[in-house]
This record gives sequence, structure tokens and C-alpha cells, in this order.
Amino acid sequence: MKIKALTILTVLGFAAGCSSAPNDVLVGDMDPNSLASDQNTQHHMQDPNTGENGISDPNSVHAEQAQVGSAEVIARLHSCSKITYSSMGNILKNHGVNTGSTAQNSAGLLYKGGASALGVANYGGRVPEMIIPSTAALSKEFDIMVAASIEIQAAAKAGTLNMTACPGTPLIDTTGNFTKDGLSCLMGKPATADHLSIANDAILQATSQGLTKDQGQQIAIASILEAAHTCE
Amino acid sequence: MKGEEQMRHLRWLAATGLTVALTACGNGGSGTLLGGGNGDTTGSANGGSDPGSPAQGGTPQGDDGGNGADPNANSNPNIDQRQVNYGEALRTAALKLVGDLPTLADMKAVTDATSYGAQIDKYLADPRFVTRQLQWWRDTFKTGQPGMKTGNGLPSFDTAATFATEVVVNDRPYTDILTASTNTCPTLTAGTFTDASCTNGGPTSGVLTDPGLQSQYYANMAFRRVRFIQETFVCSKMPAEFSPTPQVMGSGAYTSPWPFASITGGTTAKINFQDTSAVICANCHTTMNHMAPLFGNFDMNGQYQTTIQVLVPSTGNPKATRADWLPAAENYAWRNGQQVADIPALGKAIAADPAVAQCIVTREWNYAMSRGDVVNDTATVPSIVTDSLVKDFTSNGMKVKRLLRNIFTADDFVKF
Repeated sequence: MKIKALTILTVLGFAAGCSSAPNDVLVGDMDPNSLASDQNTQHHMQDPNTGENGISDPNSVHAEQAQVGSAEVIARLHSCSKITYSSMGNILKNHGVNTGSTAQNSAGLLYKGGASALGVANYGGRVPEMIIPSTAALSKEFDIMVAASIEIQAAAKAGTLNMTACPGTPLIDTTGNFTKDGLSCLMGKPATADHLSIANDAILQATSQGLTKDQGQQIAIASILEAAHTCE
Repeated sequence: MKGEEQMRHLRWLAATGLTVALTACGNGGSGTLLGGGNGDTTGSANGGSDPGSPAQGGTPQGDDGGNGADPNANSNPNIDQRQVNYGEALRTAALKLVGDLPTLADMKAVTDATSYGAQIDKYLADPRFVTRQLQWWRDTFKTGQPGMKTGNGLPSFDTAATFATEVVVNDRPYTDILTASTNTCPTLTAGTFTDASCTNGGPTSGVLTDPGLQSQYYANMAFRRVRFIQETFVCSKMPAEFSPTPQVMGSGAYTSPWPFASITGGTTAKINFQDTSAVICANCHTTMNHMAPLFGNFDMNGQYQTTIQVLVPSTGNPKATRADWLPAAENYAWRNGQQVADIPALGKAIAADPAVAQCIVTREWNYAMSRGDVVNDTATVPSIVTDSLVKDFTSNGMKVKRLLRNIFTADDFVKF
């Protein structure tokens, strides 16, 4: 009994000793070993049907973060959140993709039909839009980017591509190679010489393996989009 | 022999406790329970640079540049190897602030810290920032009109997020979200706010009395409404208060600073909040029960009635009475020792809590850095990372736009 009491008092003593810092409360009951853990304090939020959708398991989070560094290091590093559903729509539109398309396997149809997989909010269930991408969300994003690449490449080839964020900027030049500015527009950040080289090399690799140049360009566009927008 | 062994255990426990205490408090006054004592301190975490240095594109972030740590103490390669990349920073900032990628012209305009900062200012003034903020507040409140039912007396579920957006966009103090006494149910049409007061009756105190929120979080004994306040504005789950002198009790430890008998209990109570047979209910409920009755009069549609509308989860599900939460002599309170008479007073007490400023800084930091939510995803941020931001926020009128600019131009943000 004395040991139990001393354990409680020493651990609580350290918690109290630091209690003046405003964010001490952020630790709260999130530490599985805290006296305020589920073993000591009922955690109603884990009851069924109480809106625990989308809640990360604290133990899994701690285990993953421990592989990178301390909590401070983790907090100072950019992570990778899911692009919001509306932002995804904006990106597609700005790349000239028809988000209202009803054609089978079109990027627009996949986007419209993929709202749930893409983690949109369910406010009725008190669930906000997903912040961290799920495997389903990333898979859906890949599908959409692949479909979008076909549309973007076709428009670029036809000279009708209208990337609204980059008016007048060609994605592909007259020789069939990508332009640096065009790639910048696809990614939303300045393309480097390496980006350009990799994209044009994808065309060469595709044609050397029996695919058409159009298909090579599509592969390159899809790869660039996925790399830029899906944490790949 | 048995006594010696027990003494060894006691000495070990005392030494362990002391070591833990010293480790936890090892960073001066910062109390970085998560980040302290492990060598991963801030100085060289930023490559030894000052996050407020204009050369780094940063905004002045306080006396110590946001660090206050030994610059030689850090050797984490994930931190040390980062490089300033304004192009990458602009992309993620644009997505977060206006929900879209930067234009080619924007990208080409950014060449250094100054031009990057100017672009952030442009985004903060962009009409699309309003739309993005609205969505951010909907997700933060877990309440919004999209997908929700209408009619049958249901309120708008968008007024709270709209009001919070208006506070941010119009550069009003963040605490107005908790304390404003009028025009807390505005509408937003084509980027223009139209002020309006809520029509659900009762007191008005920012979003605390918003009909959409009250309806969304309607539940037994108004506890879900209290949980919403705690997790949204303090960024931690219950329990919210801890005693420096916990007591061994029942099957665990009573950790709350409140007198144990300050909440309803006993065998005749509908709900025995003093029960200790399985877990210590009072650890959370001493805090919750002193607030929840204030929200008891809002019905399931968020309308304020003259009598208590929430139910007690006991036989027959009767409507709650004040005695179901508190003994007659107990007053309402935000925290132990901070009595409040009504919801507006509660709003002021919450707004004055330092944890509330820390919370919004943490949540915005996580948003900018593409991290999960501080509550839902346990994405806590040690105070050493945000201390200077909190200081700047609280000493400059609690303007969220200023906070966002500081975050999106911070050294950590522009490095990849």
C-alpha cells in the first residue's frame, strides 16, 4: 500500500511540479501510463456510438513517432496531410480537368463518386474531414490522378489545355517534351532540372518499351501529380 | 528481510520519481513534458538559426527566438538536414490558406524571405481565405451545414463556424469567439458577412450559446457540450484538472483538486458521481458537473428554454435537475476556484485561461505543418516549439491572422 501511494505521489508530484506551463494540459490523459488513463478514469469516448470515428490510437501514434525523434523534433517537421476534397477539386479544375464529367473512368466521375473514400466530413456523426490520408484515400487519389493525366495530356497535345493558374503556359513543347513552367504548374512549386529530366525520361522509357509517346507523357503527368499531391 | 526489500523498493521509487521530475522540468520554466531532457532541444533543431531572423524568412518570435535551448544540444539529422525552400513552402501555404495551388506568377514572384512573406500576406487577404477558414472552423467544431438535415425546428449548423471565420477574417480578438454578446449568428454570402444575432433565446456568449453547436452536442446531462468546450478550446481530453496531492481512493487515485463531495453522489443519487468501485468518476466530473448545468436548458434543437431540457441516463430517463449534478451549496465554475454565475461569465473565464491561447496556437501549428489534430490524433506540440508564438499572440490582441502569418513564415515552416 505504501509503495502504491508513493508511486502515485512521486508521479503526481512531477506532474504538479510542472503545472505552471500552459501546455502541460496538452499531455492530459494521452499518456497511457498517466494516472488519468483509462485504468483509473472512465473514458466515455471509447463507448460504442459516441463518435470515435477517425480517432488515432495514441499507442500507434507514439510508436510511429518514436522512429523519427522526440516530440519536439516531430512537431518541427512537416508531416503529410491529405489534400482537402475541395482543394483536390480546385487542382483538377486548374489543370483543365472537367470535374463535371460523367464519362466512365473519367477523373471528374472518380472525384465526384470518391467523396467518402477521400474522407469528406460527416458532420451528422461529428466527424470532420479526414486530416491524415487513409490508404483508401490515397488509392482514390492515385486513380483520379491517372485519369486526369489522360485528359491533361490529350488537351496539351491538342493545344487546348487551359491551366488557369498558369495562363498561356504550355505543358508540352513542340518537340513533345515537357516544359519546366508546365511542370511547375502541375506541382504547384518550381520545377527543377531533375523534375524535367525525370519527366522527359519517362517518355523515352515508355517508347523504348513499346508504348506510344502519348502514353509516356500520360505516365509522366500521372507520376508528377501523384508525387506532388499524395505524399509519394 | 522483507522489510529491507520493501525499503529498497521505496528508495528505488523515490529515486525514479525524482529523476522523472528533474527530467520533466529540465527546460527551465517551459515544462516541456514531452520534449525535455532528451537532447532534442531547439537551438540547432533550426540549424542554429533564429526563427525570427529576417534572413530566414521568419517573423520575430520573442526574446529567445522561440528556442531558449542549448543550440549544441540537438543532433537530430531530420532537423539538421532541412533546407529553406520557399517554393515548397508556398505550395503548402497556398493549399492551407486559399485551398489551391499557387499560380505560376506567384511562384516566380517568390525569390526570398521578403517576397515570400508578401505572398503570405496576399493569401491572407484573398477572398478564398474566407472560404478556407469557414471549412477549417467547420472541421474544428465538427459541425457544419453540408450534409445536415434541415427543418423540423433544427437550427443552422453553420452559424458557429461562420462567426468564428468572421472573427478571424475581420481581425477581431480570438476570445470574441467565446465572449461576444451580440451578432454571433452571422451569415456569409459570396464572401460577405451579414451580422445577425442568434434567435434561440437565453444568454449570448460567442459560440458557446450557438444553437447549431448546442443542437449538435445535445446529450445526457449536457456533458457532450462540456466535452466539446474542453477539446475544442483547451485541446485536451478530460480530466482537465489535477491536484498536487492526489489521494488513493477505491480502486485507483483521486486526482482532481476539487473536494470529492463537491459533486452529486451517494446511493440515492440518480447517478453516483462519487463512485470509486471501478474507476474514479470524480476525476473528470468534478470539473464537468460544475459547468454542465449551465448548458442544461438548451433543448435538442439548440433553443434555450426556461427549464432544464437534458435527460439523466437512469431509469425512465427523467429530465435532469440541478441536484443531479451538484449539491445545493455548490456554485458553477470553469475550474476549481474560478466560480462563474452564468454562461457569459463562463465564456470570460475560458477566454482568460492561458491554455486557450496555447490551444489555438497548437491547432494552427499542426494545421500548417500538415500534422493530425492535437486531440483526435494525439499530435501534441511541446511548448518549446510554440512558446514564442503564444507570447506574440497574447501580447498582440490575439489576432489569428497575425498568428497564421507568424506560423507560415516561421523557420520550421519554410524548411524541408
